[in-house]
Parts: sequence; C-alpha cells; structure tokens
Amino acid sequence: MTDMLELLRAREEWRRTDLSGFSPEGWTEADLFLHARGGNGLVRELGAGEPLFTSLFSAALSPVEEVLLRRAPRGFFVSVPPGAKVEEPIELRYGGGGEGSSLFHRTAILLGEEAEATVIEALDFRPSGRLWVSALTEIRLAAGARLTYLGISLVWPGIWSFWSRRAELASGAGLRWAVAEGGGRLLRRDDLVFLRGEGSSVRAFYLLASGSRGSQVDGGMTVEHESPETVSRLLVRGLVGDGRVVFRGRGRIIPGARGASADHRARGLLLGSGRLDIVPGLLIGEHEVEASHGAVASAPDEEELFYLASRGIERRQALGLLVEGFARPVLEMFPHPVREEVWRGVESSLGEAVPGRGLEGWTENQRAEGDRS
Amino acid sequence: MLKVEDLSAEVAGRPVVRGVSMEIPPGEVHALMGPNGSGKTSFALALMGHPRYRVTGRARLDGVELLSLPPHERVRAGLFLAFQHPVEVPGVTVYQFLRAAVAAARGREPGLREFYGELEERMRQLELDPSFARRGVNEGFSGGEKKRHEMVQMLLLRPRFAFLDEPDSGLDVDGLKAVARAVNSLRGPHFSCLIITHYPRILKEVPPDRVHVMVEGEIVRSGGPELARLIDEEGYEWLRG
Repeated sequence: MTDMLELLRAREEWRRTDLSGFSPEGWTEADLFLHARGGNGLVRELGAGEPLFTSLFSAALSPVEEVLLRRAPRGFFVSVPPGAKVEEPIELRYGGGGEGSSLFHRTAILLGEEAEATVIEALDFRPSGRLWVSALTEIRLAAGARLTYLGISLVWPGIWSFWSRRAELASGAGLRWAVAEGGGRLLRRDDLVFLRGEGSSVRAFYLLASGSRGSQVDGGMTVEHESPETVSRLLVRGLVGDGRVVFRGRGRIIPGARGASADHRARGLLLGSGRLDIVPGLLIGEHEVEASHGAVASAPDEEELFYLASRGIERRQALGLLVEGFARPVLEMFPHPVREEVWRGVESSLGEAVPGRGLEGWTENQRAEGDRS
Repeated sequence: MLKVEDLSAEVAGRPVVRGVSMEIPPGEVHALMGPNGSGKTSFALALMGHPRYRVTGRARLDGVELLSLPPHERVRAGLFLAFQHPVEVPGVTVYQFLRAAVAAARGREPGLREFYGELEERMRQLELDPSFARRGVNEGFSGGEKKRHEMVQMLLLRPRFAFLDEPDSGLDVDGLKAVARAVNSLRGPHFSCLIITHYPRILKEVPPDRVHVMVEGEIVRSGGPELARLIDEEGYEWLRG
C-alpha cells in the first residue's frame, strides 16, 4: 500500500497535494453510518461488493480510486425512473469512525429520461481525531434528465479525505453541481464530468475553505465535451485563511464537438498567510467553439471595507460581510436549512479568518430576504 | 457643531488639504465649492478616516475628537459621508448591509419587520424600488440609483453631520429633487451638512447658509449664498492666486 503514495507523488496532478503525514497503513476500518432522507422508495443501500456503474471508473484511475473499486464498499443507490420529478431533496449522509479509523463509501445516482431530482451528499463525521475517508460517487443522467447535485464535506481537522466523483450525461441532460469543502488535514477531490450527449450541460459551483495552517483543500474538476452544443460553466470561490486551497479546473473539447461552450472562472479571497493555487486548463480540439477561463485572487478590498466602516460597521464585522458576499453565489445553490449548515461549516473551517457576525445573523437575514422574495 | 482646526492631509507624501479651519454650527447647511482636484473630496474622506490619508490638525463633532477614532466610531459619533462614487460591495445585499449599519448606529439590532418597514419607506421616499434591498450593494446600480441609495442610508442612520460629496452628479431633474427633499427633510437644529459641489443647481434646491471655496487644498474664500451665484457667473479663475 505504501506504493500508493509513490504512485500518487509521481503524477503531475498530485504534485501540489501535500501527502506528508499520511500513510494508507495502520488504520482500522470502522462501521459506516448511513442515513438517507427523502426520495421515498428511490434510495436503497448498496451492499459491500455489489457491482454498479463502475464503467465510469474504468479508465484513468488513480491508485486511491483503484483501492476503492476493489473494495466496492457500502453506500447508497438513488434511482429515479424516467419522467419522475422529485420535489423534495434527497439527502444522503455518511458518518461514523473514531480515532485512527478508516471509512469507505460510494454513491450511485441514476436518473432516467426526463427525470428531475436534487441529491445532497454530505460527510457527517463527529470530531474524532485522525480519520481516513475515501469515497466514490457515480452519476448517470439519461437523455433530458435534470439533476442538482450538492456535495458537502465540511469536516473536522485531522481528517484525510479522498473523494472521486464521475458523471455521464446523455443528450439534453443538465447537471447543476455545487460543492462546499473545508476543514480537515487534506480534502482531495477529483471530479470528472463526461458531456456525452449533444446539448448536455454542467453548471458547477465550488466553495473551498481552508483556514488553519497545515490544512489543504485540493479540488479539481475536468469536463469532457464529447458532443456538439455541450456547455460547461465552472465557478470556483476559494477562501484562504492560513491553510492552502488548490483547484484544478480542466476542460477538453474533442474534435467534432462543434458549438461547445466552456467558461471556467475562479476567484480567491486571501484572508491570512495561506496559499491559493488555481490551475486552469482548456484543451480545444475543435474550431467552432467558445472557450474561456479566468482566475483572480486578492485580499479583501480596502475600499469596500472603508465603505462599510463609513456606515458604522466595525472592521471585523465588515470583513465577515465581505466573506459572506464572496461565498454567496455558491451558498445560494444550497436550499434552507442545508445552507445554514454549509455556512456554519465554512465559518468553522476558516476559524479566526472569518470574523463575521456569525451564522445567526446571516441566517436571520437570509430568511428575511427569502421571505420577501 | 463641526469644528475643524488647521486640518491638513496628505496622500503618499503629497499634500492635498492644507491648514483648513471651518465651523459649521448645528442646523446650518454649508457648501464647499472648488475646481476639479482642489481637495474637496479629500477633505471629506480625511475627516471620515479613510486609511489612505495622513491627517494632522483637530476636528471635533459636538465636542468629540474625531481624528483619533477609527472610521466606524466617527459614524457612531454622528458623522456621515455620502460618497461621490459609492463603492460596489459584491454579494452583500443592501438589506444585509443596511441592517448591520442601523444596528451599529442605534446600538441594537432592529426587529425584522420594524427594519424592513422603515427601509421600504425610505426607499419609496427616494423613489427607489424596494426590490433594490435584495441586490448587492451598489452592484449594477446606475449613477442616479447610487446617489439615491446614499440618501436612503443617510435617512436611516440619521447623522448629526453629513458630508454630501457631489450628491447632484449623475442625477436627472427628478433625482435631484428627490435628493434635495431628503436633505431638506433632515434640516433642523440637530442636523448640519457640508455639500460638496461644482455647480449651484443643488444649492437652489438646498439653499446654503454659507459657501466656502477650496483651491489647491486651501479655503480661499468664504461667504454667503451670493458667493455661489458669483462662481456660477465668473468661474474660479478670479479666486486663484
């Protein structure tokens, strides 16, 4: 198993990932706690060893993914039949573990033709010292299906988490995707979306927060445009305290994917002494396409802070408001009350770097605004 | 009473305000006029505590020393600045921003219904659609909407003294009248202000008690309202040197 680390370190896409202090050995596999809410009759537990869509994970695997595939751990299978429209979000939560334990899980989500659903997938671990968590999520959307996928891993320090998600979209399918990640010793994410069918689209939002020194949130999304008129939109917001945030955003448009459109944007807000690495990449194999990317990082704007101060808002609170405002485009993807949970997790991940008025005020404001909208 | 004594300010070692002294008693409206780049906005920003300025001299509002206070405490002392170019604060809604500002000014969090009712009323007063409360602060606002929004803030915060930095720029006639009505509604023994402007048209709507002229960071002339009329006819050249 120690070979796994050597193999990872040899890969360019793992070069920025700080694996020091991690070993795949010496962990005790713990019982997985599974909790699902909503999706009446559409969710079932996956047993260990039960095979499912693993064709999505049949190529270009990292050693971490190979380990997980061999284990085929327990998890959830969500299957929405063709034409069904599920109003209530389906919530899947994974938890368990204790000091020195490892947990593995997987999720499979299948939406039939023209089906619609929202699935929330969250890591929900209690404070427990060192923990190794690895997971796979597979998503398949049939023609015209619409999925809002919301991933949450806002975890306690000491957690090493590796999570790979792959999605495949048939023609006309649409995937709205929002992910909030923060805390932990290392959160490594490898997300891959295949836009296989003509006119399929993904709109992905990431909120990544790393507050304390030595913690790293390391995310990445690759979108493969394999058909004409496919669309990808990627918006990343990185909040960096004294930790490190890495994001690798890649788009590949293959020859023949005429009319494809990719726009990938990343912004970082630097609140402490930490580090932000944004690694964009677009590989374009077709002429008739639109593709763009942009990245910017800065400290909080002093003119904005002064404007807020000129209305009597003291600096720490003003900074908190700016941080909330920065995160808002991603936060708004999450429904109440999950949104409050996400914000609480982000605040907790950032620690002292977010000196705002706290969740209570934010929540109250959001509800008031929501009530009136 | 705003009392400023021998106030100087510099930016990156360059003097922009030079030894200005001024007294504005409660209940009075003063105007500060002057050509472009004469230091009018710098005077207001320096007194508001903008971190870019290094300031010397004295400034007191109703006896409270201002220059030793951070900006937010100057507001709590009763000072307000309506910005010439209001800053956009992306993602922070007008509602969220103003509620925090009102809580800071009044020392207590206003109730949701109470606050929203008051905010709506002030917005209607300035002919701003209440839906602006859900937008990001000044995000995508037109020039006129930004100016009206500044006035909404002033009405909510009820300052004892306000700098109004070019409240007339970017406004059409209706906007100008709405802004003037807002300022005039506060006029009284507990409010005074300094209107910074190039043009006398706002001063026709909000007649000043005194007019000061600033050139190259210094007050070169002070007088009654007739001074504004004279500048409108003659320009500033005769006041230089």
